[in-house]
Amino acid sequence: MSVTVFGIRHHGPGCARSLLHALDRLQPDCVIVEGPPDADAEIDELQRDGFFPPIALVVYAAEDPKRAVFYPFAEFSPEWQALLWAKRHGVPARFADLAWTHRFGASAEEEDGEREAAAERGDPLGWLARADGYADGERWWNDRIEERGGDVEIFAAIAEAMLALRRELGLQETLLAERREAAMRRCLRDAQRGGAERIAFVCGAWHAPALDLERVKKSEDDALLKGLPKTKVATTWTPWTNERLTFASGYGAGIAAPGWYEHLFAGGSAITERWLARAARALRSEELEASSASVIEAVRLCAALAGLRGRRNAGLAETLEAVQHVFAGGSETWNAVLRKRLLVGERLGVLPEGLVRLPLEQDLIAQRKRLRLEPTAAPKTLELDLRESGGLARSVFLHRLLALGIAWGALDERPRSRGTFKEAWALQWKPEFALALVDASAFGTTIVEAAAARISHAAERASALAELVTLLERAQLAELPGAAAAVLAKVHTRSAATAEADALFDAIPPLARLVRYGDSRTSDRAAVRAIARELARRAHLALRAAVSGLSEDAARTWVERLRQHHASLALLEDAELDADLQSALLRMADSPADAELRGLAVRLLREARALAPARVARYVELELSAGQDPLLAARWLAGFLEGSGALIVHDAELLALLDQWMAGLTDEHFQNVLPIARRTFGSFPPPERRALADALLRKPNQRASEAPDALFELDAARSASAIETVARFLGLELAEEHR
Amino acid sequence: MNDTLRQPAEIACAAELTALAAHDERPRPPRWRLSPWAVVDYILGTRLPDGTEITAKYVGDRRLVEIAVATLATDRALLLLGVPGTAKSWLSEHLAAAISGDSTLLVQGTAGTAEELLRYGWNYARLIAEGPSEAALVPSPLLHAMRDGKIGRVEELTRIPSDVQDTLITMLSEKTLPIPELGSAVHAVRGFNVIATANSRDRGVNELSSALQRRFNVVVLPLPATLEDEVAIVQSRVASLVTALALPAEPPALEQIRRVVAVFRELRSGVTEDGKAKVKSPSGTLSTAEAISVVTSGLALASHFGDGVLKAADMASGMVGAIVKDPVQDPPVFREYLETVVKERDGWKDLYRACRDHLR
Repeated sequence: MSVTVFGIRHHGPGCARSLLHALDRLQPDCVIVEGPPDADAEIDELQRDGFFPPIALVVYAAEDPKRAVFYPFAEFSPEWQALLWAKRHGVPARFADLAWTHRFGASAEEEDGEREAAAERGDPLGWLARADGYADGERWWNDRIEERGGDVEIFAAIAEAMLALRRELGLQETLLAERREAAMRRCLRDAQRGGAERIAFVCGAWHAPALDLERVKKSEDDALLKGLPKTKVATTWTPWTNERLTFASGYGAGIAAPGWYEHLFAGGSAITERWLARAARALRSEELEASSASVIEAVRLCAALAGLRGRRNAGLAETLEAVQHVFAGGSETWNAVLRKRLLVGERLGVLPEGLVRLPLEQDLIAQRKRLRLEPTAAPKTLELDLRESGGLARSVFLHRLLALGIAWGALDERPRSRGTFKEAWALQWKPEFALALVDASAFGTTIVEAAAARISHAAERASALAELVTLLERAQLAELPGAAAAVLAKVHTRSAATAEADALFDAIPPLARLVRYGDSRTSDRAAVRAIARELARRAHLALRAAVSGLSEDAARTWVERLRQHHASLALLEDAELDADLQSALLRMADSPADAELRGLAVRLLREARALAPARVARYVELELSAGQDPLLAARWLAGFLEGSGALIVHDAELLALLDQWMAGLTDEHFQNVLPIARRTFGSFPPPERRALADALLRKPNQRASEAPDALFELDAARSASAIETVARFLGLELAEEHR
Repeated sequence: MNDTLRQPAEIACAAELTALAAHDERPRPPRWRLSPWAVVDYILGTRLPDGTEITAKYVGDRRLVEIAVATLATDRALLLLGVPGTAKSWLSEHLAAAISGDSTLLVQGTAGTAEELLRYGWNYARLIAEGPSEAALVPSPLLHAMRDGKIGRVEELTRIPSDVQDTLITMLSEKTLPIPELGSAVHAVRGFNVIATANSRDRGVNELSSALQRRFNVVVLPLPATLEDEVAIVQSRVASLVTALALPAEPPALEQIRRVVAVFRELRSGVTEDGKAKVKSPSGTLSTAEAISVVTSGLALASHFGDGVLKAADMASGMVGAIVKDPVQDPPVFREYLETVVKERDGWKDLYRACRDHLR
């Protein structure tokens, strides 16, 4: 009976290659891999075909799926290769570590403590690296272990080095680390009891010395592992991406260059040459210059550099330097291209068909197949036409996923203002959606059911009116009538309890959009309209109190808000509401509200023809009268005119009032008023400004009469007959002078 | 004492080169005086087993020096690129000295550099008297380098007109220089290579043609990464210059050097060293080389007109001269920096006053 421990580095391609040779030689009858024993059942799934890494093993607390750990595997991970070896040779394989059943029970403080202790200890490999004349452990390990050919003796050397390191450093291990190693030893003893003759144990190099069963008594381990808390856990496989492999996760630190590791693991001859040729192709694909001659020079530089640095083969650093100094003229700007195309790569893992245990995930896959939406790791855009049933169905599906917290698609918000039937989505599948799916499974077993339940759940807990309205919009877009009705009811009760005018106003635009644009979807527009009407009425009532005593800045946000509200009411096309707003604005125009807001009120009323021109003129005269503070007058004008000057261009009386006021300002007042006036008039479209200037340049007496013949020089004799004809059409009596 | 104002590197550092060669047992490329490893050691400095101290010629990234040496070992030409004052020529000279034992095969690139300077010219008296002959040929430094298997140097490559630059292409790719007048060609001997330097910030430069660019491996020399690196560079260069100029002044206090370097770095990067405040950058490059010259000229002032100890007042005129390059834009920039940064610093009052007086 024998136990052979293989100390490896997680995701080490050289380790993986050496490990395969070593396993072939050892021919073990039991393979144990460092990993969560909770997921032993998942190893059996590997018997199926169709696993294409990168994939990850997920372990999560069944009651609280947000607490989850991921164990990613790449093609070149030694653990993955060990599992595959066991599968090929029909040998049982299992995981060994402290089960997450016990680890999820740890409180947040305990976890923080462990993390701090680990951070304090730093990278133990750093000591070996420094002894060997290297600056950091990562690089040392790559040079000494990963980037050498596959040789079997390396594991004995690693174990010896780690034993020496642990003995010399004599670090105090944390309780968690001790428990984990005790659990690993326990697994080992179990396997021995099960009758295994030649056990291969694959674990992180650091743990290798701890697996000597002679040195630790079983009773000590049992004492360490006694009475641990228990949490119910569930496990599953999930696709992963190369990008994700670069992040730290369950198996410790992330790796910077999965693409390079893949390349190393694939092995073969001419590793540097093929890598640099691939680099050249990657650069060419982005239209960058990289000739074959440059590849040759880069290979030569790599060889010279490796020689100078005392390495057998060029490593990643040498190849990147060669690219930078031969291809890229010394600049680092091409590194981003290389990183995306070569160092990391855009690979997305694949699981066998039918290996999906979550009903919700099954439903998702069935639906996306039906709608022909393929998940991709690289971002992709999708334009949908909502008038077609296919486009609408996809849009609804993506909106439902959004409601589930799975942001596969991000909706480009801009086109909404352009048209009501086009939607542009940016699609990108991210591995963490697997976790969101697990989380969402708590709400139901199908996408539609879970989405509705999750929205209703969120509505129960939402307190702000704006939040509820957003949920309502989402429910409508996702075509979840049940949830929409529930949220609508919540909006109803909530609006009654909302007294803040700003919240009321802000809730109206999304509702108005729903009423107006809901027609490309089937939704209960009448109910939404009713709510919008009620909200608008209550908002109008609250308006006068809300806008009194505002600071200048607050007033400006209200100007914006009122403009938006006005536009929303236009969408609703409800004469009664319009009249309601007008009376509210009238009240505001006469109230002591901020000058700019009062100006805006008069402007909106005039546009709606709710004020006769004479009344408007009176307001202007009043606000611009000599007794008024010129600054306030200017701000009133800003509210009255900003955005469009058509009002005064065509109304000579108003223009005259304005001219009179402006001309009457003292120098000092004029200077004070100038910035506001400039902002106001600067907001007019250029043709209006030109027309305004033209009107002002005309003589005052002409301006007052505004007679047509002041504008055109008419030849009375030649135009007489035309005028007569037109007059007859219109049934008018001609004045004496035109006869 | 030798009367030469400045000796070439292979003479100034002859003792170090001999010591390195004596200990160098690694393989040397053909006609190299030292192995590539020893060249790297010569440039970056080390201590030999017998205790000989090899001074560091270049303070900075070891990687870049390794790439430069490896490039030359693969018979690819080396182009050192960088803003002014990043030790391009300095590194080029020492590389040539260490590899070929001769850093003098140099062509200085200017707008007026003609093809004859890169290839060969003629002794016209002889040419007329005897007709084209080997004896009438005047070889360029590069032709010498080709014949002897040494490193040839081209300074300020991008200042040379583009059509003249391209003369180098045959030499670099075919390693041959045809001499049609004689009906013969010079074939480069093993060990020949070229180090060129070019300024990446200079205005009015002639871009390299891409054909020529492809013949070079390019190493971009950065500005010193940290304040300490830059202070070390200034200190060591000032020390050697003081010896060369035989200035009677005391070696400058580290504190003075540190202040000059800090001011230059801050103005160059636009941020104070503590990363807390933004400052405007003047139009000049404010390179390390300029910091060196500010300190040496300050020392010269101190020794000839002052009490021999470097003070803020001695450096102020040099600093103002280095910083204020544009008479219109730069004075307000420097004045603002003085008022907002220098004035507030503990112990910098003397520098503030001295600079302010000079700025008037």
